Amino acid sequence: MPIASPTPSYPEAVLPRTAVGVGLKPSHIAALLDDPGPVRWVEVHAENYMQDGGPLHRALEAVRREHPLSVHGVGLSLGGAHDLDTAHLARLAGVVARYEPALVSEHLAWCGVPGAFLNDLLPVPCTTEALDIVARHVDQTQAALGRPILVENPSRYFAFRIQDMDEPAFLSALVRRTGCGLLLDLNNVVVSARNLGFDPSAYVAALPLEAVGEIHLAGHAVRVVDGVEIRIDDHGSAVGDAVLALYAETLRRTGPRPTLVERDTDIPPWPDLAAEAGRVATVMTQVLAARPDPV
Amino acid sequence: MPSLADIQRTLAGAVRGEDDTPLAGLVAGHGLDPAQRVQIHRNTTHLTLTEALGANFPVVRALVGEAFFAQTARAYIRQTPPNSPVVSAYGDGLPDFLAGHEPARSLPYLPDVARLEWARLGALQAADAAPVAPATLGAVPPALVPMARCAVHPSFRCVVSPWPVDRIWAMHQPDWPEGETVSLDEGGATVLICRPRGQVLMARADRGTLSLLFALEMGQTLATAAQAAAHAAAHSARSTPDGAADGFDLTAALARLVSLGLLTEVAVPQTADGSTPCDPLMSRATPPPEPPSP
Repeated sequence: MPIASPTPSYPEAVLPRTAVGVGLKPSHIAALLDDPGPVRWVEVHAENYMQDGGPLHRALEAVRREHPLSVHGVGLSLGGAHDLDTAHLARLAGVVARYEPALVSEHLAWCGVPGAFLNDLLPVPCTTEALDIVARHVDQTQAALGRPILVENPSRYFAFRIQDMDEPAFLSALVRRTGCGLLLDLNNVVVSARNLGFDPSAYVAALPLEAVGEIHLAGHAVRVVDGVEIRIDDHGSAVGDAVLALYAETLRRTGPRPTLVERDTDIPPWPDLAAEAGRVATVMTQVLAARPDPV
Repeated sequence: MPSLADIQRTLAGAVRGEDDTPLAGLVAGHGLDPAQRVQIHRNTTHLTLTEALGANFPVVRALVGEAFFAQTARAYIRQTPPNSPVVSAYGDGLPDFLAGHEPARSLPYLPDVARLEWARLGALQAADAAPVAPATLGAVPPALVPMARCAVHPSFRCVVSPWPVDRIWAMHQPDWPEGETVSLDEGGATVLICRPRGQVLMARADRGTLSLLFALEMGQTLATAAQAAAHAAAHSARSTPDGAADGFDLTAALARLVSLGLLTEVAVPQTADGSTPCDPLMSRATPPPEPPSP
């Protein structure tokens, strides 16, 4: 008969605010367990661990015993106009119960319409109607998981013609109404700022920074279409200079925050990815050392 | 002002390549046609879902080549988009889609190779369960064997094909011996797929063994399951050219299922006083009630 979901005694989930980690790909698990290098924590996509059993669960259980873990959902569609998929929410709750992660996060985005999951994070217009819907979905998610979640700011490739407020105001209201935290993806801020023409520093300054529980960093691609530059959030290269500069500037405002390097395409060998986490950790150390008031 | 549902219906249609015209009222172009900006999402949807299908059906992809696979995936994604965010389990309809896909007509075994890959994926992701030890069946008192029930591993899958699908699949694995070939004339295969421990295993079986597994999965006693197996074995023998009917060797078939790790429990009926008439280690659950006889 099936073995019940394991109830292993994991170490308490503690994620230091100064920890730098990486998004963990299944192909890197063995190397991480062998030598984490400067990597202090890892994040996995929840949807990759929703199957009943199998070797991938064995591997993540081993990771969880040794490293702080974050579970990052990419398919819940918090910004969908339709009702949340309760079967999917139950699967997410199952992953969270199974791994007792230090952090759980999802996106300010929608992922499809009923019957057609598009496997993408599509942008939500910042309207009062959308705010009501997203707040309801965040409430429902936090109730189902029994814990607060972090909500990540999206990459945007276009502006909606309708908008009742800007995105920092939308996220501030969401934090106020639901008690959720923010996952501040600085690569997404730079991508959206370049594509839509706003100031990334002003965007960060307008957020409720005390609610930021995690920072994401990644690289993005630059394309030119009919003479117009478009930044594409492909997580396919090392963290760029503009994103690193915004990271240092943000840390000066927020103090230390668990930081994650994401890489989803053109994935480098483990030692290279781990070394990139090390470079980010150096930036954090330098910024915090130069900070006038101790945290 | 359009509702969020209206906006998302319009955008989803554009991302799925249906209609770009309503975008202009919704999306600011900033120097481009709004459709050019939405195209980025269209690319992401198409590329990531194609990649997901390729990851779930790597041998199908190898058999048809990257370009043909991408075209086929595009048609399949348009017809049957995922209805769940768990794309590691996307593609259950691909085998049937391939069977009706005109451009794939020249590879008649392709749908069954896809069925085999889908079965392997299901086995890989199925619930974990420990197989019974080899000595388990032998420890059941002979008088109780007919009444025993066996639980089949939750990862058990099977594919029955007129083509040697397991060998076609194996040809595309790194450990395939160099120079060895597969002939489409070598006949079909009944393939059992299971993941008793970490790895997915495949083994050929006869129709009798397959019927035995199906009957055990439905909770039948060994006696009833053996009848079904013998019936299937006889039927299968009649339909083969040489007509050889060797009967069905239940003991040998059970031993093979145990050695393959396909059984996770052997439950024997309890005696009148409620005690278990054999080693309690073998009997971890009360058997379900006997189904009413027809």
